[in-house]
Amino acid sequence: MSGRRMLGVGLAAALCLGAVWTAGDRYAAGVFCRLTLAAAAAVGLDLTLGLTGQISLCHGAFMGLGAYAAGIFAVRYGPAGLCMGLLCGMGLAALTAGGTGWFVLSLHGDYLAVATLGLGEVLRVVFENLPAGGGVRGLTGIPRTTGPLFCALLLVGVLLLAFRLKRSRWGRFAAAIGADERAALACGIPAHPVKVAAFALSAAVTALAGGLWAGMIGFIAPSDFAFTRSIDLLAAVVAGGPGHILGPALAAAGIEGLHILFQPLGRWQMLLYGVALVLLLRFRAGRRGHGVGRAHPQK
Amino acid sequence: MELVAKGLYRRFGGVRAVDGVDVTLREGETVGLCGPNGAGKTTLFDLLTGFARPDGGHIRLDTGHGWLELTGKPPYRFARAGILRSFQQIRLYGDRTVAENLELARMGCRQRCLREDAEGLLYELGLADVAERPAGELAYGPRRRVEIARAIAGGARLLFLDEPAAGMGREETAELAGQLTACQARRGLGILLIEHDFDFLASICDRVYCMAEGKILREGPPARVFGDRAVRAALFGE
Repeated sequence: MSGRRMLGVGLAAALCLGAVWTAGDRYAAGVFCRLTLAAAAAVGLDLTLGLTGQISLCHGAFMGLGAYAAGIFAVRYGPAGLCMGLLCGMGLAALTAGGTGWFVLSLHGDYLAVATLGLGEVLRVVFENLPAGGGVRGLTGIPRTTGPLFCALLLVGVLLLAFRLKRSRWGRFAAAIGADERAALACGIPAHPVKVAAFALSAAVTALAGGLWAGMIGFIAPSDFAFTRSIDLLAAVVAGGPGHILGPALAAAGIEGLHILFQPLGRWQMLLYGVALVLLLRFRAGRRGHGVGRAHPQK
Repeated sequence: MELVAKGLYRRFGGVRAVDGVDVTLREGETVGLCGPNGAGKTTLFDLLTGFARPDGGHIRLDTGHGWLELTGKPPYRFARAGILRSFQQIRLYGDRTVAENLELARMGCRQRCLREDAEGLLYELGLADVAERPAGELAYGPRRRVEIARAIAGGARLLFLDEPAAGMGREETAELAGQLTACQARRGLGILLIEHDFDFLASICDRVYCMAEGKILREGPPARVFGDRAVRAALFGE
């Protein structure tokens, strides 16, 4: 067995053991689920930002799309409805991302970032005005069916998918686009369709994490998936290393861990979280010598 | 195979970068494109390879089995039709090996990967010894040739080279000219190249286009074009 495969098996085993170990303690199980779902959502974003270099500031909203779809189905149809809701959320997110991405992904850099920011705001307003979703007050009474083992298996599945995609022909095309889109086009690589596919796939993965989040926490509100959530995911990918898959997953777990750690501090929470994030990214940028290199491909 | 572009027109704001240009390129011929800075040469290249959309005119490819309309198509459609290019600023994947750069073009253009073809191409362009080295580690001249090799590996039937000899010394330029000529003879390529080195153009081109202010000033054999008064006025200010 190769070193990489052993690492993968070890990681999967560690996650499953962690799930089993925390299952008996409600608080520990909640923490475990939050960390693994945040990691899975970040891997989703890494599929587009890390591979094709497309900055997205709306993945928090895609997470919300998955959460609301799963939550509404679960409230209406019970625990079995959660599965339908997960699929529906993934499909909606993929369609939304693919549809808007077709127009938006011809933009680059700052323009793309602002366009995705706009998309995220549109979705937030949709959540706030969705009668079935409880509007601004949020959706309550979601059956809490997502357990730690489910979250662990999701993260293992998402990591496996991401690594396989990265090594596939499609993944090599995506990485080439992220490194230098003009060179990729000159090599006959269909840059725009690949970018749109990556955006749609990453939205679906992030929506899946959001759907399970709803089933874990039992209550969701539009503010849970606002711009700050998108920033958390972006920070995780930047800190973890775009395209590294495992790095963003670990960084996302760390960032979510900071949220949990600072939660008891009330209004000091966001201040300390912001300071910690600045320090983390400064440390990361200092070690690498530059920022999101892949997110600013050579033109 | 023949590329036919008629009435190409492209403007940037109030500037007509390419203004009613007709260009043809057939397999087996080498055509030069020269002109003063700002004449519209690279813009014309971008139009002929899909990297810019024309505001007017059309680009069609006679594949030998019928005409293929390419006007307004994205660059990868041009590449997959056999029209590949190099860039004025070298665009290679520096962290990948020379062989990997070539393989990427083969995959993108859906070319069959034949080991003998790959080895032969690298040998023709003097890159056999550096096939497994990261492209970013190579000197300037070899990197230029890797970019050309990548385009040929992608199945180029019509090759567009933007200043392939830029920054090279006399000996290296002469070597490149020999390699391109040999490559073309072996593979029947059509080559259109932008160059400011008129000796280089005169040595390998069958005909030359001279551009100025977005228009084709003259077209014909190199000796006739470079001897033309209007061309000399545009190029040398005579």
